[in-house]
Amino acid sequence: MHAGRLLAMRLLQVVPIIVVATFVVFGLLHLTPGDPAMMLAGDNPTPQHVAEIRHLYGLDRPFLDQYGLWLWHAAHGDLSQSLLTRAPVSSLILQRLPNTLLIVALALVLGLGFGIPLGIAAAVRNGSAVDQALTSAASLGVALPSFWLAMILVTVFALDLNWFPASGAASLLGAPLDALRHAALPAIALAGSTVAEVARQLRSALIEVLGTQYIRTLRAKGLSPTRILWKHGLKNVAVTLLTVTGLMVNRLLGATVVIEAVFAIPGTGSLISYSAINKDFPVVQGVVFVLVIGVILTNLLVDLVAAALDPRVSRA
Amino acid sequence: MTRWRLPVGAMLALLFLGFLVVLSVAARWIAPASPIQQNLDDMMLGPGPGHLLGTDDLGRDVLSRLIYGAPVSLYACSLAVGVATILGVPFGVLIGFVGGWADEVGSRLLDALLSFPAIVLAIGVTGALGIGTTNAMLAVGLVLAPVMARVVRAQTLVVRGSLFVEAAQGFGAGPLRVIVRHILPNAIQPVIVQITLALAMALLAEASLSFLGLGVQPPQPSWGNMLARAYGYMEIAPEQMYPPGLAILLTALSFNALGEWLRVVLDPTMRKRGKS
Amino acid sequence: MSQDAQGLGRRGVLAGAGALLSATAARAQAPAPQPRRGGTLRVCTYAAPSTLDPITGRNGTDHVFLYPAVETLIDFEPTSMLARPGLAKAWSFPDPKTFVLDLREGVLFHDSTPFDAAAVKINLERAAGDARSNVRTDFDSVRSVEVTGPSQVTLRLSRPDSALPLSLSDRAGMIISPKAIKELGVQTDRQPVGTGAMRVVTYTDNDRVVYVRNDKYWQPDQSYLDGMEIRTIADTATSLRSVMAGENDFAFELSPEQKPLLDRARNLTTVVTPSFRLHTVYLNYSRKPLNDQRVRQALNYAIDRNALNKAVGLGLNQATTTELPKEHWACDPTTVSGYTYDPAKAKALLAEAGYADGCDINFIGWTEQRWQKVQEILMEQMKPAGFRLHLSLGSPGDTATRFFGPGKEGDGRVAVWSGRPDPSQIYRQLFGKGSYYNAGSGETPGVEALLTASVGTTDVEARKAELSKLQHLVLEQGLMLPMMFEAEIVAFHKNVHGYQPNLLGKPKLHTMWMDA
Repeated sequence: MHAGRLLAMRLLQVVPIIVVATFVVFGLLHLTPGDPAMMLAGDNPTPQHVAEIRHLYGLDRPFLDQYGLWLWHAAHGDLSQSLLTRAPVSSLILQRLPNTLLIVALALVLGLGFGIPLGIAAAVRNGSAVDQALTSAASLGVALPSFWLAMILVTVFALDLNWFPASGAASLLGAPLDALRHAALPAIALAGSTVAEVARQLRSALIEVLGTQYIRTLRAKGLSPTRILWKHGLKNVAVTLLTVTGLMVNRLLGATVVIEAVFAIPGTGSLISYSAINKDFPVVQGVVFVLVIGVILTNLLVDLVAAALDPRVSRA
Repeated sequence: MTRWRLPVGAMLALLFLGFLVVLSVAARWIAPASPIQQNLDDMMLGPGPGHLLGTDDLGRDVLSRLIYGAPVSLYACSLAVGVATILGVPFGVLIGFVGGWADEVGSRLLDALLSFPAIVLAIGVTGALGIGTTNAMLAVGLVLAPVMARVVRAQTLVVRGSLFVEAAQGFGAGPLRVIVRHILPNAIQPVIVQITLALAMALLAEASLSFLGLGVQPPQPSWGNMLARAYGYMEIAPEQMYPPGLAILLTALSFNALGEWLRVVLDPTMRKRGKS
Repeated sequence: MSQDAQGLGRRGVLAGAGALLSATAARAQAPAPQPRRGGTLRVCTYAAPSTLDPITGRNGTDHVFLYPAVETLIDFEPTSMLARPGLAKAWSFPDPKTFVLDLREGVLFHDSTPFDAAAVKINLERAAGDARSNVRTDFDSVRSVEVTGPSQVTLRLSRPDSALPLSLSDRAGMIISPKAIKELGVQTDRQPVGTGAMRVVTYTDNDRVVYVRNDKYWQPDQSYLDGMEIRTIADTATSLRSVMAGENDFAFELSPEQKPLLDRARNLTTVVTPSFRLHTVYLNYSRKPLNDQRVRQALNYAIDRNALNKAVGLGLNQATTTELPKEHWACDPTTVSGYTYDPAKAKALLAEAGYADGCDINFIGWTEQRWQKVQEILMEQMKPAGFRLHLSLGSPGDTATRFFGPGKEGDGRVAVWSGRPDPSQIYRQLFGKGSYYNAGSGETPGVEALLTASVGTTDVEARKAELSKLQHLVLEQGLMLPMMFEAEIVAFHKNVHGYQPNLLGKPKLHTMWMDA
């Protein structure tokens, strides 16, 4: 019941966010100097030729008209076509999204897989040498530029040892093993800071929970520390963990833009930077639309699961 | 008083950042050579007595470029964080103080901006403003502003509901006076913490944008564009990617360490506990 | 054997690029193992096709994607760039204003429709008149296209135009199926239905174009591969890495800076040949400061082309002051080093032109690392001459629009001119009055008359004489800032054979074959 109402409310909030976000991008792109019609007209364009092209692609309409039209089509699932190559934007995105999602998902799995145990280990031994070592390592991880880590990984594991490919991506459905081999280094490069962030956040949340009166009482009652940790400690930090995960998805989708450049991965990140530099407005717009929806839905999911785990959240 | 004792990490961070400031101010006396003087007869030399960190693909001294990169990076970070503060703080105070529909609309706008992966928004803004250090950092500032606004808004909400603000309003203090006298001083501490952390984010963003060729433009050296150059020579001269990478890592680490320490020191809940 | 080709490649560079091209070509054509059917060749290049429709495409890098699928009416000799038969088996000028093409028979498009005179007429009229065509200027001299037989087309001209045959070896002469044009509409941009040895099956933007063998190809003995894949990898360092790691078989347009690495890569064959691609700075000489011939000359004296070649080309490129490479049939060798680095002379010229305190100049350049390096060197070299160079950067397409478009931004644009098959075509497009690449659109006295004279005769020697005058005029006027011709550097695995470089620097990849 609570969850149902929360879902409805949140879904209603999502719409204006998407409208504002896409409007911001649309506005930015139209402030950009340069004329895509000129770019399409090739060598020796006559002003008439340019005008024809501008009309053909609807670039001569007023700004708000163009945005409204785009939004109307987008709402109906049509993200229009690339200005430069005439490819449907939705198919461009569909071709590339799997590559990006694979490395982001893999990075997230690695980030949580290593971050959670490390965070727990540090929190349980709060103040010990292990904790201090882990905390320092985590600070280092958070400050590590992911594309620098990527360059180091390529030099060592692709060029010197030849264990992994240095570039590209493979289809997860067509060649799953090959796809994972290609995704391994980019995912590790992305996961570096994720592991650190997850471990850090989990550690401090867990330390706080373990220091509460309630847990101290349990301990006084003679419950074993392991039991306290698993039954009470982790349950209480699950919400923190979820929030961090949501935040990480957003951050990973951003970091992947540079990582895809380092590894020449045809993903949404390289698509958006290429299209932005080449002023292919509909593609930039389409990718932003999809990414923003992805981020918002992730946050929504996080909130819903958090509400299910902790009834206090939905009441607040 | 004991809380002000510097932990080792924060002390190292302060020392390192101080060192960077000295480097920035005194680059031209400290650096062994010009950062832009080319010598096409001495390209890609390995580290040696003449050039402690070797030379780059135009025969320029890598150590000197690294040193001259410090002021560029510090300027870039400060600019971005300055923009974020100037935009974010008033906005956060405003929506938090006015409340109601202004808060509702403002918060949705912040949500929208925060739902962009940061670098994507920065690329978009750079596209609109044009390529270059200042423009790229304005873009990063715009991206960081909503984070700042959110922190300030939350703090404003807390302070606005407190007894002494209600009392001040009861005595007939105008909204501007309340904001300046009561809200800002109480919101300043989380803002300081946030600024320090944002400096680290701005540094990494500058490096990323410069790596993509959208940030600091050659021949001006920046750690990000030095890394981008080194990327092209990974097989021939892998050692070239370590100096700028380490510089970025250590600087970001220092900003973070400083931020974490300030967070503990300035935490209002701890301070209140100290007073009572 | 292929190791031989590599050794030769290196020696050839030292011996002089001229001998090299023919020598490597000869070697590449006569490999010891016999050509074999089969295999899929995986190629990588930095560029993505702008479109796959020959006439709407915009980039010189598109041809490599087009050649396997689409053939031209007239072909060119790879080494000398002289015309030879293509889809037209013969051509003639019965009088200076009539051009007759005799077409091959029995050729089919990929969609099984026949290639004939009617199809050629439709294609040529589309190229000359369609609103989206980017090659309309190639047909300036053409008044009408007539079908004068089932396999004969006659072009009526408004003026003599001996540049026409070679123009038809470029985009303008690429023929695709009229049925496909009709059915696909603007989507022709994505699906070139030609007569070539390969058929495009999928085209994934900024990623790859995949081809399969055309079983109906009219020269079955010239086609060995079962398929081809051309992948776009924007960064040449990454693309070479992928070839070294065995993810791709063939990479071209590699950067000279990668040569030391290639020399160490024992599993790869490297071939270095000269090309048409000119690293240059287009100038806008319609306004201050470059409307003064002395300033343009000063600019030409202010750059050290040999040092540039050494720094970015490792000496493999060809430093030049003209627009045609030494190997080209029409190049006048006295124009290739018309300016030598002389900052003092440049300074004096500037002072004479009224810029005794130096001159601010704005170039538009590219963001790519390789180009940033060129731009940094230019900045440094031009300083002692008194030029203060300011740069503003963007992508190739973006900078072209800003510089050549109505905004007319900047005094110069650092870029690559990818060349055209016919030299008159080159000079008309670069310096002709009102031409797109002539950013200021102004007329330089003497240019138009020489352009007309250079296409007024079909006699090669007579054309050479006129083109030589044109080269000298452009040189003395300093209408451009040519820097160097890029070396075509390709690297491929030892099991790949039959690479045929051409001076245009746009290899026809489908003629290669692979060991099992």
